[in-house]
Amino acid sequence: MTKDYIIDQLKKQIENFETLTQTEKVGTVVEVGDGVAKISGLSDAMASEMLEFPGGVFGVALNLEEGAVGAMILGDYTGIKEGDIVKSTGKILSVPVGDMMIGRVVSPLGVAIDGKGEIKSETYYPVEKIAPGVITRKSVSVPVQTGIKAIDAVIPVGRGQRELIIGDRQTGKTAVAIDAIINQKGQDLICIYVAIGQKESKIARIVAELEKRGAMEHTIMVVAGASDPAALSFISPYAGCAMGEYFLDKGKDVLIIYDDLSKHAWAYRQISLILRRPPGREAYPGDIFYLHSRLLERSARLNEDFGGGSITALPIIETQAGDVSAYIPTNVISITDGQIYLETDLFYKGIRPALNVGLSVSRVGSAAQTKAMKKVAGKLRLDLAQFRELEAFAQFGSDLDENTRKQIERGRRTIEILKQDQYEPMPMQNQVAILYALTNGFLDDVVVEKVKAWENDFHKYLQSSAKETLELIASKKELAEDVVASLEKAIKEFKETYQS
Amino acid sequence: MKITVTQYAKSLYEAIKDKPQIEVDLVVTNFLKLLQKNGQMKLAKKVSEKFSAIWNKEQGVVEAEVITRYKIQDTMTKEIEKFIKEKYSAKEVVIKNVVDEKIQGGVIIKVGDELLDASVAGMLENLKKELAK
Repeated sequence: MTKDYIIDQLKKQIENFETLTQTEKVGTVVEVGDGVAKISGLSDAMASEMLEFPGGVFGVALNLEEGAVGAMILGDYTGIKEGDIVKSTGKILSVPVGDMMIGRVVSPLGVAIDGKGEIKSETYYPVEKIAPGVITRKSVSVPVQTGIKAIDAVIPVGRGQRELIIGDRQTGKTAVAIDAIINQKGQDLICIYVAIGQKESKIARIVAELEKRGAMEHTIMVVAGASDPAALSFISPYAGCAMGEYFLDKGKDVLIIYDDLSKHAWAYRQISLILRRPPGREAYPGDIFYLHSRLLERSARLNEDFGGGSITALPIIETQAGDVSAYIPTNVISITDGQIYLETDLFYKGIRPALNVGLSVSRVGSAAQTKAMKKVAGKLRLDLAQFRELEAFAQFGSDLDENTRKQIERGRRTIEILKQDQYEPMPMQNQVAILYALTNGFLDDVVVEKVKAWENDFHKYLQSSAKETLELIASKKELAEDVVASLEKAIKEFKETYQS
Repeated sequence: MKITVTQYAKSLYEAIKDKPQIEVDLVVTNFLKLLQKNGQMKLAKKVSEKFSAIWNKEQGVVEAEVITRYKIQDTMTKEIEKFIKEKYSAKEVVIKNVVDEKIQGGVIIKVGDELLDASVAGMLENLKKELAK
């Protein structure tokens, strides 16, 4: 490009530039503090309308009072001072959406923050939207394969479901969610990870991990970091959901992870208190329940007449010292269709994912489970329940009768099989194979300490010598007679050749 | 019940309108006495502001703030007055001229919370936005 060409282009642009002078509705800032501004004037402002502050910073009108508007500022509020002129834009807060968002890391306003260039979009979706109604919906019928044995077998998640991941800090809540994203590689589920008030270092680590495993190709990261204003943390889950709704309207399936909603509640509490809304229990405002219920209601499975798309939500809640009866955890538990409960004690016992199978439930997911998985999972659940009952007697060792001892031994092996390393999601057919082997007693003669090694070698063997069995399970998705025969043959052959 | 500023201003307007000047003075004196009796003299300033807003609205008076680079001349004032009268269908226009060198040229007209930006600075800002796209 020559210098003349650039100047020419500029000249053209300037010549074509038309000055439009229009009357605008304006107000003046009377009060600013901690990301919230009080503006007098702006008589026609709408609720959640975007307002433009000087310097290109945007805000959202939250409180409409007589003669004044309370607005939160989305971005840097240090430059805003008393007496500044605020213009109304006539637009409801919306974010750019589209296919080009996939693979990108964006701020809650849809601005790229990964340094891979600007994201240009013609389509905008409103951040706040009313959830799909009854007639558009359908109950869940297709599973989300998280690739985690314990979840896919015992607490299955269906497409369109809202399954809460709850637990103390450092129990692997995010790890479960990230594994679920990684397992969608090469499949038809688009993933959106919404970080709410998370440490930037943690976000960077997740992005690097997803990129390394090729999982960014189907993932959007919506990031409101810990150093961003509370207003951004507050809108980020809604913005992430709006980006998902674009794909929902296209009839696609979406998985959204909100990490985490406790911080979201804190951000909203901060904004509400500064806006002088009356505080309630634990100083949260009165509409804190609606805050989360309206967000999670937007996850849905639509019926074929409305495109047949779905949004599955995996909200995360961090509890304090295992207290699930605190305000926000009980709220979100009651909104969601089940919870995955992670425990510190189990985590330190080496059971990872530290899933408490007794307290975790999935209220609708079993309808979406594949037939094959349903069959092995039924037995697995029974084994686990019996083991839990008898676990207390385990220390008596040899004094127990044959039957009890057997059940305890089976339980120990089950716990061992349900352990799974991070970043190693397992395909459905492998899960069915190993769980079939377990529940049908093929592992009973393996020493507990060596179960893990046995499992690893078993999967390797299936991959190399019994590929057709795996393919059979994957395609039929049920344990028909021929599938069972093929699977049993593979297991027996493996056992014969296997030396630990 | 507590009486609000708006209620005071409205009732004062109702009492004053369509009355000759002599009676107006009396009404205002009585009104101030009432305020004093209610112990709300501190509201007087706010009431007077609200009252002028109501008065202007009811009587078709529009107060406009006109921001220019240099002090505006009489002919210009008349034209702006005419423009505002038409735009807001007002009977009377009160113009307050503010000189601000920062706008570089042109004019900014502010009426209530509506703003008409026809200043050079504003246009340059728009051009900047356009070129940055």
